[in-house]
Amino acid sequence: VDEAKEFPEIDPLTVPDTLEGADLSQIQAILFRGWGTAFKWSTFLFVEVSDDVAAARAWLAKVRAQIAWADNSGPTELPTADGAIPARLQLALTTRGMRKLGLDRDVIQRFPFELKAGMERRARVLGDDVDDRDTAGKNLETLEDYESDKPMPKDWKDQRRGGIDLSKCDAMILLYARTSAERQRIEDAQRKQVKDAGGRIQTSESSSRWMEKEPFGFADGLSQPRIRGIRGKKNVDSVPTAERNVVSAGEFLLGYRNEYNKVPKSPKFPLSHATHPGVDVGKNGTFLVFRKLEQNVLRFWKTFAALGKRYAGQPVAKGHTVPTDPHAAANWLAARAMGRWTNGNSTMTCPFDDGGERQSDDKINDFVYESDPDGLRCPIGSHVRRANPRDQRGGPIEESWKVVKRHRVLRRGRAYGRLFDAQRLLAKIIADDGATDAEIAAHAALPAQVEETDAAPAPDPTDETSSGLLFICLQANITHGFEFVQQIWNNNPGFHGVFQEPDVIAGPGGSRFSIPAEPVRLRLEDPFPDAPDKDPDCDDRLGMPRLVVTRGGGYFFVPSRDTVDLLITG
Amino acid sequence: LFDPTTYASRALTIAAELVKNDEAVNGLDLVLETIHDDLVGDNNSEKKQKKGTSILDATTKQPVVNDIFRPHQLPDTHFMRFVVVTDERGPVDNKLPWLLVWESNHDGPPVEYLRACQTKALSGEDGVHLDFDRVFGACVAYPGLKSGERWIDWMMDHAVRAEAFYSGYRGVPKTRVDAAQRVHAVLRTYLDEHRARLAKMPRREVHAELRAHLAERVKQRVAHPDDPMFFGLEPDDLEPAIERGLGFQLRKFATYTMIACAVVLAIALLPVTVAAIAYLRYRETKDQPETAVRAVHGLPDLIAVEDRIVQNQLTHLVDLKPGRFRYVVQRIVLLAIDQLARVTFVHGELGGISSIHFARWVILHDRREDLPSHRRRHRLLFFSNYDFSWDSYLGEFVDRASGGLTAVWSNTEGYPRTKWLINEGADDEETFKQWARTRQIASQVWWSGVRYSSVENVNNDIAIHRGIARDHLTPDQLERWLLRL
Repeated sequence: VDEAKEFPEIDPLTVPDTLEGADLSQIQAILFRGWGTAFKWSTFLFVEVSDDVAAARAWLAKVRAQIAWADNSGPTELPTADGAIPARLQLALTTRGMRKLGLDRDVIQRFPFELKAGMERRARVLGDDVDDRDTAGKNLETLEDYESDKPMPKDWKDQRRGGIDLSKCDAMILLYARTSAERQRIEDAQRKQVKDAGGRIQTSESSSRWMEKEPFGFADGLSQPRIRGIRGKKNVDSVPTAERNVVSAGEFLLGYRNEYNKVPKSPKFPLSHATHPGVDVGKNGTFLVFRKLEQNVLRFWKTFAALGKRYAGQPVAKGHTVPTDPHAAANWLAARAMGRWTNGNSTMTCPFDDGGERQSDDKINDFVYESDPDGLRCPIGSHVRRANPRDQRGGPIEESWKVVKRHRVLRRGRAYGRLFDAQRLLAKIIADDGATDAEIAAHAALPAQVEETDAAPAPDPTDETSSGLLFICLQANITHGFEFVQQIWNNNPGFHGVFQEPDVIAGPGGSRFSIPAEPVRLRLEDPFPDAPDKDPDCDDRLGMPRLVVTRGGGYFFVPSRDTVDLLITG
Repeated sequence: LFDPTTYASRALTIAAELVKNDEAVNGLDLVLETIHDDLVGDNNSEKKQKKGTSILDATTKQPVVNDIFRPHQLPDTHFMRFVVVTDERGPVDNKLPWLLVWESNHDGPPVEYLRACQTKALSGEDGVHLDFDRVFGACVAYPGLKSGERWIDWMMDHAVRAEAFYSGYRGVPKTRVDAAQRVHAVLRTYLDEHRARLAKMPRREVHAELRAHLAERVKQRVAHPDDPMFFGLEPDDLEPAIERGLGFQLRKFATYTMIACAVVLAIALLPVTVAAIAYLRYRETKDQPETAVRAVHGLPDLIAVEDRIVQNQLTHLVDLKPGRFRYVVQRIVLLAIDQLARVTFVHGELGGISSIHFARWVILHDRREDLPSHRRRHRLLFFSNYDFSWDSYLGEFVDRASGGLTAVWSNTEGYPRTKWLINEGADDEETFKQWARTRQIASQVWWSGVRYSSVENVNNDIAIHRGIARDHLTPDQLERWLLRL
């Protein structure tokens, strides 16, 4: 194949970097919204389609009519056994799924390496604990090579703790509903739809009721990039620094110019193809990363409560100390680890306390790290500073923004499991009144886990299920987006000059956490080095505990309307 | 030249032709594999063995034992690698012989370094495994370690000059890198234990107390050389790396003067300069860049060895574009980089890239003088020892230094389309990375002497070491110094 002739180069300057004037009916709606306020309950179904191409395509044709599109042209209701109800559906596919749907194999081969290889084979990049000695050097050529013998991280195998195996998954159905009862009804209908078409639901993951907090109790989803050409909230867009949050459409969608001023490579049919000459299968599509993150909420607040007691009253700057009250001290230290207070205010704008009220939308993101090169307000290694270093990548500020924009992702995750009032939890722990873990949890569990209109009973708050985040993010290049943020920012033990300290919140655990201070820094260590759940093989027993454990995940492609149609007709 | 720091940080590249004998080459492969498995699995570490991450022998299922070559036993060495350079991409009718290449980043003049290696290898000390003979045995006319001066002569005969060499901590000997790391570790532990009390003291007194503690530890170490309680330091650890002095400034002045002269010369010979640039531009329009249809990805055998410690390595081999002209341009560009790396980029960054420990460009000259110039294949070999992932490192090239990078590699075949030597090229991120990956070759053995530290960590340790060695710091210096801890 003469590749230069079959896939002629496009002049990037003829391709827009904005969605202004774009055909939004092609793009799945999830790119623009997470439906938090309208549809508080979501569930994600992981589907194995029928081996029979015709049956798989027939299923896809049904799903096609249910997908919500960015221009609101999709259906506003989804079918259930007894009538349609307001809800939303989105579709994502693996390369395995596209192969089984009969997409041209050469076209699938032109999808990015990491999508074909799957999250399991990227374990070393992502910091997942996998014994890949036998499979890492395996030659990956055919699609079957990619699909077989995927290594499985240890933590994903542990099904009792919620581990899931998505290595043989073909498709992901994302469902969004108003109430948990309605969610159940549309989920049942989708399950039937899959079964009727000879497919199978491998596993499903359901969220808790949506709220603006993640399970540890911190405000979440505050710093999202804005796609060029899409208007955000008016008062937020008028902030002088808002432009720095605007990112070229090509960072989130294939077929547009990105922050390198190039058009990312996209899987295409060759020009000489008989039925689809030159068709760009990727255009208006994006890549979705799903990752189930179990969060050990009790361990988190127990750790910071104990550290609060230890460090209360210690000087940290001229005229300032860690608060003397142990409750406030625990919050102070946890805010340093996170980079934001539980109410969402940045430690950059509120260095000493949480500032009372949560700041308004135009203020809460209006800060840069320029005035804090040593991390005295917001530690260099804090979670939020790692996840988006803003102007702090060294060198000229504008240069840093330019580079950071090449690694932004759109987050669409949802919390799952029990949710707590973090402050009640912390108070109960500090009271140290001999309460068991279950009693502490029951004391602080958030009530009303179902809508009042729902008939379903409230789940038992002492129920032993874990909680965490069903992390989802979207980007046009998983290597530049999720993998880069995970490997080079979050999990990097040498991030911006820190020494052997990966992210203390979401990292692998086992290392200390430095909080820069005057005249000398604090360096947090695990107050419970002999806890029964401590990894016996960890290099440093005084290293902070592992607070987040990945329980599974996968890489998916979110197709455009034309591509779904192409998959249906073949 | 008056400047003792120039003696540290040297680049030795030994490139020797392999015998045309499959058995010998296969034997070499096995030798290198054993060393590699040992280093990757860290089989000498008991903890790794317990955790089961050591590499097992395919047949015996026992941890691979490397009694051949243990790089950490080399004297004064920062990083090293062995690479078998084959010629897979070369044209069928114009292949070049296979080479074994040893890249070593060490301190002091090469001959002295080689002599120290030879002495240590032959010392017969218990546990020393530096069997150069089993590694180089498959090379043409290799004389053997025991042949005295002849061994050193042979090595030096096969040494290839680095056209450009960069280090993120140039002039700091390996012994001082290690000492700084140990000193920082001792101070770190002391601070952890006494933070509550020290935080209430004036900065000056904190510094004085840390200084006294360190001195005491060293004293105890000397007095009780076998007491494990005082391990972690060495007797000369109070001595930090020396700072650049007058000699360095003189050298810098001389280099800048030379560069100024070159610029004046280029202006004086304006017609020649313009003609050369016009010819370059003409050649660029005739170049055949490689277009990549697939998105970038790594070859499995390259990925398999990556992302195991803080650093990664890159060995990159590419043919220069044929003809005299590109060859000359290439030499000029590398000469400029080499000079700047000696006097300008000496603060831990190269053109904005702060993640390189050691890097060098070497030209493997095609000595077949009987061939016409367009048939001769000079090759550019690039070695880099860098922090973090391949993607982030190559990304830094694109983000920060695409001009410099393009100037270097625009003279090599297949490089993405360039304009005026430094423009475009690496700006095309995906095409550039694909080009870089397809010309990357596997490094059979690679060893890092600072496996836990980034360049920034090393330089921070060195600065801490220098600060603790001084009994007086100004208030500003004190504030900065304490923040480094």
